[in-house]
Amino acid sequence: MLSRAIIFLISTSVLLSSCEFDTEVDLDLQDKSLLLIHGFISPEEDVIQVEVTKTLSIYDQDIIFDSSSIGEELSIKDASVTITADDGTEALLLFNDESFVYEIDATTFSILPGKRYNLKVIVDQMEFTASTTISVDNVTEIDAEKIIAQDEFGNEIDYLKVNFRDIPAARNYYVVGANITYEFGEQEVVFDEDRFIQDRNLNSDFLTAISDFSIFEDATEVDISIYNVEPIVYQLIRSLSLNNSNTGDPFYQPIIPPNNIEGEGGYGVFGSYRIKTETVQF
Amino acid sequence: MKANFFRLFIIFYFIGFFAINAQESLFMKRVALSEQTIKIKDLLKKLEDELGLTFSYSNDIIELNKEVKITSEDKSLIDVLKFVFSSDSYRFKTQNKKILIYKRLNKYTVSGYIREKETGEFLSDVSLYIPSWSKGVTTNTYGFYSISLPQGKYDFLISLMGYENQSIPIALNKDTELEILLSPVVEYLDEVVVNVPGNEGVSDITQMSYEEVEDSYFQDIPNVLGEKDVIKTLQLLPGVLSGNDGSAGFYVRGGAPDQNLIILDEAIVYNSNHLFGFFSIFNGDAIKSVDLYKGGFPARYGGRLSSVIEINTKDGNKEELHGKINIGLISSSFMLEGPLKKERTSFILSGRRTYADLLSLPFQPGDFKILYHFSDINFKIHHIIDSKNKLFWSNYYGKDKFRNEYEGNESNGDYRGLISWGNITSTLRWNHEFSNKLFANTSLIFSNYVFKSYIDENYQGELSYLDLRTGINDYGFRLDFDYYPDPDHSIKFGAASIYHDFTPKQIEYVEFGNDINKSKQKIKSVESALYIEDDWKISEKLSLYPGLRLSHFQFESSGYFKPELRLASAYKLNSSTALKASYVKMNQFIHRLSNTGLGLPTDLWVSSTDEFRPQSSQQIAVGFSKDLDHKKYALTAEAYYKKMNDLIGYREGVGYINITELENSEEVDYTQDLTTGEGWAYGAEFLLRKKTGPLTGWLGYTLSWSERLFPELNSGKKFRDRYDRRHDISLVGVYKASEKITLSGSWVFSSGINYNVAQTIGVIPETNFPDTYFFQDTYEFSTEKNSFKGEDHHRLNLGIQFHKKRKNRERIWGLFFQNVYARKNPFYYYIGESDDDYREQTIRKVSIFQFFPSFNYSLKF
Repeated sequence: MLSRAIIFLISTSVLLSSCEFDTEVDLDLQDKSLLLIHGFISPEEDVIQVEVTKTLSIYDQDIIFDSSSIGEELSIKDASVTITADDGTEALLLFNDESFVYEIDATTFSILPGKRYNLKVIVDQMEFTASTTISVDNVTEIDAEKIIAQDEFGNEIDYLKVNFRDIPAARNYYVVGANITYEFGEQEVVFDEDRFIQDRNLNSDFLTAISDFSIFEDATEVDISIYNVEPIVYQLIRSLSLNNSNTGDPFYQPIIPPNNIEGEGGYGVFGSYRIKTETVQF
Repeated sequence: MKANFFRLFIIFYFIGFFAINAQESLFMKRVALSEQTIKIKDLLKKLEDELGLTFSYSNDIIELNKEVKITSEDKSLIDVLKFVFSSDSYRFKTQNKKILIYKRLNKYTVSGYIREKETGEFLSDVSLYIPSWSKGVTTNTYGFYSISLPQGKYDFLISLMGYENQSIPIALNKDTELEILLSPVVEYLDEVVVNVPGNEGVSDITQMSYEEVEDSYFQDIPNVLGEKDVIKTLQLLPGVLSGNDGSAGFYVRGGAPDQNLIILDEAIVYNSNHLFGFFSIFNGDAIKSVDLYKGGFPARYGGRLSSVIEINTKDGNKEELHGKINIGLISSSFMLEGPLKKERTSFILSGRRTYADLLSLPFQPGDFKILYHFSDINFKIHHIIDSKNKLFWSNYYGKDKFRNEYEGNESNGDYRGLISWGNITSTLRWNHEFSNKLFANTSLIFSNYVFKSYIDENYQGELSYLDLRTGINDYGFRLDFDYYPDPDHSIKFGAASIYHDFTPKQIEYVEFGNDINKSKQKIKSVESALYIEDDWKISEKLSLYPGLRLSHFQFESSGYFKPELRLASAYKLNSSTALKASYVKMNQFIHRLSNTGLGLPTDLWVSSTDEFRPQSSQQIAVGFSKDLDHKKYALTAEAYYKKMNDLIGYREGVGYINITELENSEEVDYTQDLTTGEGWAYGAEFLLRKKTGPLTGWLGYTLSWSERLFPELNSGKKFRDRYDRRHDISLVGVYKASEKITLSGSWVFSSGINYNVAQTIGVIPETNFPDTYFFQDTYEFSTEKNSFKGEDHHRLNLGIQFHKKRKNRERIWGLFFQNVYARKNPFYYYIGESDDDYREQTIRKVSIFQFFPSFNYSLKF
């Protein structure tokens, strides 16, 4: 009798049990809407842009999927957005109906290294503020080379290796980008997580990023851009990237994006960066 | 004030001086006696008449008719008395014109070991009680006891839960060595008499926040897939919270898993989990005792903030060879124990291995395999050199291995991947009795933990590989003394030192056929301590357990010296009720860095450094203990408050395996990724235990809060700890219905834990930064850490075991049913598509272990 019971239980255990069950749950969530403000300024950019949008709860299904343009739906069009330099000069950013961001041409309001800039956003008589100081330092030495490796099928594949010298005597946060020019056009080089590089030891060594995917073997030149970004900007874009790429990993703890916007209900980052661009011929 | 103090001092000084002087003058009176033989009573009468004083004494202590031959031409009275009463035990005292003669009783010490009769196993925590004195002692970890008493006749009552009580009459007139043998009781019968005076109940011990889990509990309580698991059984106690469903990680009074000091035969165990936390590494067949401290830590323990779990393995049967074979659904184990030399040297060997890899092998394709298994081995030798000296050599080896292999052909090459992690511990201990009151144990300890990840690809003879390791080697030394000066004091003191050799990161790789790249970081530190503690029975009602631990940690040129005060006290309101309180200060010098908080093998053990101070905590607890129904039941209620400082955690978004650092030839420095903060934990715990009879078990309830504040996390705002569970209930029962059947069950309920689940949708910021494309125009995020509270967790596990005993063997069939009513407890949450409409987003949860039956077969011989 017992042996029969055991055989039955082993059989049913295989049938009834599987390791994982995925079900929908109905739980109350925070549904407080935030004012999301993002603005990243640089002396090397032609346009100064600040985005002012509202947020949704993940349960706001209709707006998310039935809207032809989520950017347009969520953008705040009647905000007052100003940037003030420490010397008192002020720029009013105007809403662009096509890109849904507030912007001003950098020729009319200069962003200068070493200067501090204050952002003020007023929406429905509520004021939100933040500030950033532009880094004086920028990367000076950049180099790049094609390296050849074999894949699992024995094919030779070209990758791009970028080297640049770390800015000395400061802890720096870099984002690496590159565009390859080849016979039929241009290709953005994907570095994946390698594009985020932190300087850790203040020793001004050469830092390296190797592309995650192959590049065209007939590439003739590459435009390399090294972004020396403010830590909070680095944290923001890295958190968005990591949260995106780790979706579905049960052991991954999603990162809370950073916030330096002051004002009740405001969230986001106002920060700055420097860019150094170099073209390397192969 | 100072003047008054000195005045009092002078008054007392002179009173004392005159009193002593008066006493001396009476004793110094001169006595002249011609040589004569005289009865003592006549001599005393004569002295009274001649010197004008009186003697006062009890007839019991003086043989008045005894004749003494005495000559004294000119001797002092005290010399005469000392001659007549020559024994050292006589004392004399003056009171005005009266001389008191009394006899101080000689004290003798009874000491020895208490062992199990059938196996010769030394038994710890055995109560040895003398009712006529209302005093007693308990055996130490090695079964040793010592008690000093005045000369006389006593009845010693010996008791230990699960063993037959004994009463041993002793006529004590010299130091005595007494070895006591106890026999286990048949547990299924309700004949265990526990109403023995002195048999220790919860109200009798000064220690609070302490639980001892008997071997029978973790043998009978079903856990994940029917495996018998010590750690999971501990998770059923109040104050010990579990992590996700199935996880062996545990959180004691708001602490983190790395704040638990897990000691296996004196060796620190750094990773207590198999299979990413679903099983603990401790094979129940080899374990003798498990002690858990959640607070009120004795000074002999240190180096962790939240708990101490001391696991001692069996010594092995010294009488005859015995063994056990266990076959389960996912693993099998064996245990063999016996004498190498009868009554002197014994061994115990136990091993366990899972076989999911072997079972799945035939079903996997020939050229591609994914294989996982874990195994562990315990081996111990115990040798009795002589009655004063004993040796123990304990060893543990455990390993998890996850492999995947691809066998290609000439055109596409081979691929192999291996992830493995495991502990090795080895402890050599020497017990030595310096005297019948002083017991010493010296330990040499080695502990090792390594996590290894290896990947290689072989193409036409060209090899590329990545070999990544983290680990720690400990080389330790301990010297512990137990000193029993009298029945009111039980003093422990000693020293300990550990040399930590950390490898936070070691990477070696060859990429694209280039040269070998290597990077290795080493951190070496020394952790030392001196300690003293005393279990002091001040009176029948009041007892104190003070302790002091002087901890020191040396890292490179800088050192941390941290004195730690420990104090526990108990006040007995009546024979079965006690109020208790404790205060402890703890420091932790090494830390495990974890992105998940789950205690995964990828977590990193690192040391305090110049920059990162040791973590520290202070905990106060007050409690109430009551023994009920002749100590069949025990009720404890405790409230605690714990403040933790200098907690260390990762900054947001920091990972451990970051090969970019290596490519950049920068020396790996993990400290750049760390941030520090504070923590608070407070709550109350209730536990009602039924300790004896066919039905044993407990009902536990915990109400708790656990919060954190890190300036660099969560925008500097205080946040709930991930495992901040508000309510936790556990109901555990083992019913030995007859000699043939054991029923067991456990039901647990706990409030949901806190997750970072994105609840808000925002527009992806417009940037010119490279490679910032995403699949959608929006992203989900949350603005507060651990702000999403998951669903409550509850589960019922049931088990039944059928025993069949023959003359020399016993076989046990066990059936276990996990999560009987198929509760879908959350393992994790994510944002996904709705079942009704794929375009709708909703929160989804993944659950594991929904109604899982399993079986187990054991054969004992």
